[in-house]
Amino acid sequence: MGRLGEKHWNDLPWDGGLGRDHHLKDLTSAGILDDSRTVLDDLDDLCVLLLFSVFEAAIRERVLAEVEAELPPLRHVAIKRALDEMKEGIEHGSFFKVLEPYKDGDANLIEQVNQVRRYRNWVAHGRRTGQPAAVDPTTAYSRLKPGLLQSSSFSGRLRLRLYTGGVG
Amino acid sequence: MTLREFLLKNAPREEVSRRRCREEWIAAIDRLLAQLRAWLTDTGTAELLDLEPLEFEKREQGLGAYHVKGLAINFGERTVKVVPVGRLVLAHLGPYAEAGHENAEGRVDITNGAYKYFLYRKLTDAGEQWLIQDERAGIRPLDRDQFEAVLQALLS
Repeated sequence: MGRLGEKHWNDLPWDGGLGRDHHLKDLTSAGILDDSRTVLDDLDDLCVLLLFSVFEAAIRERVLAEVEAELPPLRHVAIKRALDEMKEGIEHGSFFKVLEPYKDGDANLIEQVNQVRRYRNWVAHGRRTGQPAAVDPTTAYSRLKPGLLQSSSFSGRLRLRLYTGGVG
Repeated sequence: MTLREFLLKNAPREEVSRRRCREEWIAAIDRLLAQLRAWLTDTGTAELLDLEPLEFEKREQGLGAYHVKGLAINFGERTVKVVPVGRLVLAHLGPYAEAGHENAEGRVDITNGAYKYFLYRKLTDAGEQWLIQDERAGIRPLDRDQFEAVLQALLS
């Protein structure tokens, strides 16, 4: 759209139906260019945000499935209540806490994920505080991928969502 | 005790470190911009372009608030901007990584608004080097030929 605004907008055949279109006739080349730049400026950060959202959802789902697979039949109400609270925490609680136990396995990997998480949080909360270490989409993907690859079904699902435009 | 003496005595150690880091980064950006300008001048292209200094207000964890320069390269109605992104950056240097220097020590973007090239700074005991990367090509050293090719692509 930016390229259209920058290079071709004024050369379009405005004498016909295009010139009578209420949405298009008042748009200017400069306006289109400005708007497209505004959108594109934030696109990288939006991509990091979406990548992390998919990653977070996949990890929560996976942890919950793994936990449920290990549970014996439970009957005591106190244990059942504690378990429900734990599952609620995995599904909707702090993602930092969900990842925390995995530091025992691969602290470096979890720290790499947490660095992306900090940048995502900074973007999601309106960039109001000091910028943490900057993350571009390629780096975000390369840092989140190893965590997902530990479970092939999840990496397959992530790829599917990314390539079908179903992110988020 | 004067105010200056008081501030010097009570300045938190982190503030000294923050300031040093900030000044080092701002100086690195100034060197990069001077290099880019020099390349344009050397090849006689600077006179065909309108070079406009930019200034950005940044706030980074570990550095605090600071002002840093950028550059707008105008050619007719087209503009390419050189925009400092941050001193702290998560980016692996790929084949240019060395032990203890695996990650970039700063990032600057060159963009026309639609397409973007990332400049990553590699910092070692031997000095600093700028590398360039984009979606289409892997990371490689930034030199005059690369810079000219990037400008031509972004201005076309």
